[in-house]
Amino acid sequence: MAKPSINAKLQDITPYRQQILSQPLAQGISYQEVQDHLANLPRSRFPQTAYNNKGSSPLIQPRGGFSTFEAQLELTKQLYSAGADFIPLTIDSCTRQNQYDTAANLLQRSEEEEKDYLNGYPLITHGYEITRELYRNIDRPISLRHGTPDARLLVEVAIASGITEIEGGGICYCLPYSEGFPLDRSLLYWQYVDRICAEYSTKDAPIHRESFGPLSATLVPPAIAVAIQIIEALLAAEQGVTSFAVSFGQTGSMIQDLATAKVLRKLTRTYLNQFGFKAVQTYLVYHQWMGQFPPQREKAAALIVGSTIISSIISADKVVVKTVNEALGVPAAEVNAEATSTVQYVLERFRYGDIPTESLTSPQIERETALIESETKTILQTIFDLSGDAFWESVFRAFQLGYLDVPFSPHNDNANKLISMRDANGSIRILEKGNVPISDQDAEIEKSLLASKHNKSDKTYQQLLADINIMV
Amino acid sequence: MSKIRIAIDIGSTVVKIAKIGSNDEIIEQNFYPRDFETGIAKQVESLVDSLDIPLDKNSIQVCSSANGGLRIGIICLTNHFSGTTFRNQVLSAGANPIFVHDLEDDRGNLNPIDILLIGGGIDCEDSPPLEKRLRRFNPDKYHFSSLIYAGNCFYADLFTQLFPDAKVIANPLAEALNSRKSTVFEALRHAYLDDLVFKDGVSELRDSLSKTIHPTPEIVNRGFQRAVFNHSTILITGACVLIDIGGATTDIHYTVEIISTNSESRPSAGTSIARYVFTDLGIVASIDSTILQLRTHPRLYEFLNIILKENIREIYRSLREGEYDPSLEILSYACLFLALDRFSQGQGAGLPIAELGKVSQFILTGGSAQNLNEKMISKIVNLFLENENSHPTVFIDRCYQIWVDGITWPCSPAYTV
Repeated sequence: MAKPSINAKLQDITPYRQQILSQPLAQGISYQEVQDHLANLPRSRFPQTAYNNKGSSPLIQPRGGFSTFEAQLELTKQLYSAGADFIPLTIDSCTRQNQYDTAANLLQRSEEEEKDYLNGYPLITHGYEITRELYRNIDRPISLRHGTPDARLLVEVAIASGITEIEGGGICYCLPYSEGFPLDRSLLYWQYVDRICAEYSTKDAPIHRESFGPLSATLVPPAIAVAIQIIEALLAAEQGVTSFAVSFGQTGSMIQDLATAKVLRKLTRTYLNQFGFKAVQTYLVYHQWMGQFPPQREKAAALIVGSTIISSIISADKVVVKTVNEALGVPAAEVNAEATSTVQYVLERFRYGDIPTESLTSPQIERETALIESETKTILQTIFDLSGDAFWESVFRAFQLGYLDVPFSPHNDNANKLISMRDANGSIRILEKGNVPISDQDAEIEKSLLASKHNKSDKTYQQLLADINIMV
Repeated sequence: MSKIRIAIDIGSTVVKIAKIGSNDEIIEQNFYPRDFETGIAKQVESLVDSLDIPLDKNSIQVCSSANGGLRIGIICLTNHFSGTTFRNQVLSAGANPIFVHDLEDDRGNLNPIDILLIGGGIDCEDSPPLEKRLRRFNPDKYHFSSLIYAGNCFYADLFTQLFPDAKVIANPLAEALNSRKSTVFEALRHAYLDDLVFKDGVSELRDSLSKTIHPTPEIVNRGFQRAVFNHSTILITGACVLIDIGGATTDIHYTVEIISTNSESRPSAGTSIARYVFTDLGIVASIDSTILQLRTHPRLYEFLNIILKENIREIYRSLREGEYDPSLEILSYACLFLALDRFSQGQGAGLPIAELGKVSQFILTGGSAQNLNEKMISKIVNLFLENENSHPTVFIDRCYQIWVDGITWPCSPAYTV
């Protein structure tokens, strides 16, 4: 059996680093110089400090990336002024796919024509030295948001730039973002990412890692999202990461959001402790609705307000913010800043306070919590029981066997046998479990809850479409 | 009880025997010319006896590259799904796909092949297009020894009614358009063994010494996978290409993230590591076709300029005019050069286009690689790198570690599903 273990830590990453840093685009990066740079940053630039000093409301994290330095600088200033607690750096899709030449060409065109030809900031092309200048006067953590299966060079450059929060993981940045990038390689490459995050960490200033829980953001059953979050936390902990945030996306059901938050927080701690990773600090991040957004501004604004209140009720440590222009494309800096201000306003005016999430309960929430917990435990135990030499291999095999199955993932390694739908309350239910090893009893509960809504006159795809577009 | 194991590689001309320690390290290895008078079974038994260590069937692993691998023809419903799935499993099993046709293609192919593999579609009861094509299929247009049906299981009975000699195996696509069942892989592995036993007379060897005999390319592929999975002393630091230059063929094994997004041909869905075999590149049996391709290559002078120190112009001229016999060393470099050139352009049936600039490491293994030089290989690789940001490393597997890793690795996750 290949359970998570501290012995799985990559012992000597020197040869891997040499290969990564030998690339001309990594020129100038030196471990000692980067370590000195990090040591000289104010502690407030590190997520752990921000989390430890936060009040009762969630911290606010917008997204955002533009191709040119000037546009990114303007965005950074606007988001800072608007009150963002984490400053985002969203990376363009060419860099995410390791197409650095294309990114460089499109950056050049963007600069020459003063028009954005990239959908994010091409960090590797800009390089770490100029990127440090973006954050010269910033005293809040910078968060790297991307979607890169092989993020080794990107993360080296990011940390050298003074970015202290690295989002992603071998699963969550592969399955939803890539059709063909091999999952096994993504898992191995993220071992390296986790390892260098750990290498650059100090006790009071760790490089923080965050997983991306929404996954495909389309009818993902909470148990699947929770299991994958825990797996990514364990994989990171194996490599020595000590500060980690698990996350999930707004499900579309308040009951399910409350239950998911409870289970995710509880089981992450349980499993980290069980496998000897008690020292890992964990946090909970809530993503505002990640599915199809309403194009109308008033509906989009209402959705943002609603999810902000939920983030407060579930005591999220951070909420990742959407904008009213979500359905229309990459939002302008002003719109992004406006969203940040809106969320800040809602959090201040509708304080939920320090009431523990556990105290907010009802029979429905308890039933939902028990169901998600039971399903998650069964899935994880089945994976822990797989034979193999290493935990990451068990995870890889779990996908091959369909034990982990993310609905609507475009990836070839995903089984796509699990079918999920919404019940009468809007909660996500498992209609067909495929090979996902939930118990027969839990599968029956899922089906019985779904039966409350199931309209036999509709075809499955019609119901699925309606469920996907629930917020539109 | 001894923890020493013995690994044996039976080649067309050489038998390699290695003593393997408990940590899969090579303790000793020796090479012996094939004794065709004695026969392979008796020769190997005698060599094993001379080791004078207690052994049982579980401690002896045998692979063979003799016969050059099975020749397979593939006829599929679609090139994109069943075609790539079949081709991938054929290659992973160490066999050589000679052609891939779709069932609509009525040209035929009269190249002699060992097995004609037919299939396509997922398992579903109602597939009139498949039925129509199967009924129209004319086997007389092909020159094969065995016929295997590996398609939609609901049409297997129809196929055996139409072609009673056909053997039926489970559909590797099953219920999804990606290969989750290694049925073709398993069938060809067994067929290879049967073929080897029949042609090369190793049946007695199988009975007396070993549980099974694997095709050497499969073993190399498995060793490559083991290295990629960080279970080897060979360190893989990123996207990687392994090249095995042989007498009859040149094999490339690669991690699939190097495939260009513009490539029409792709390894089958769900594949992480793939293999391609150039059946016309080799330094002994395929020497004529290798020289022909080299002497007509537009970048011949660039190639010679890398590997030769003097008389480049004269050798260039005489090679172009067919008056020069290259040494085995030059031929080995030529196989590498030609294979990379074709791989970078996707020139070959079913060969994807590789972005060699994404490759972090090139590994060369096999007997022909032993006399090559890392610097020279780097220069040849650089011919195919389009941007200056690429900086791949070159490693020559001088201890045959990939082979040992493959033959001693009990489980290959890709095929344990």
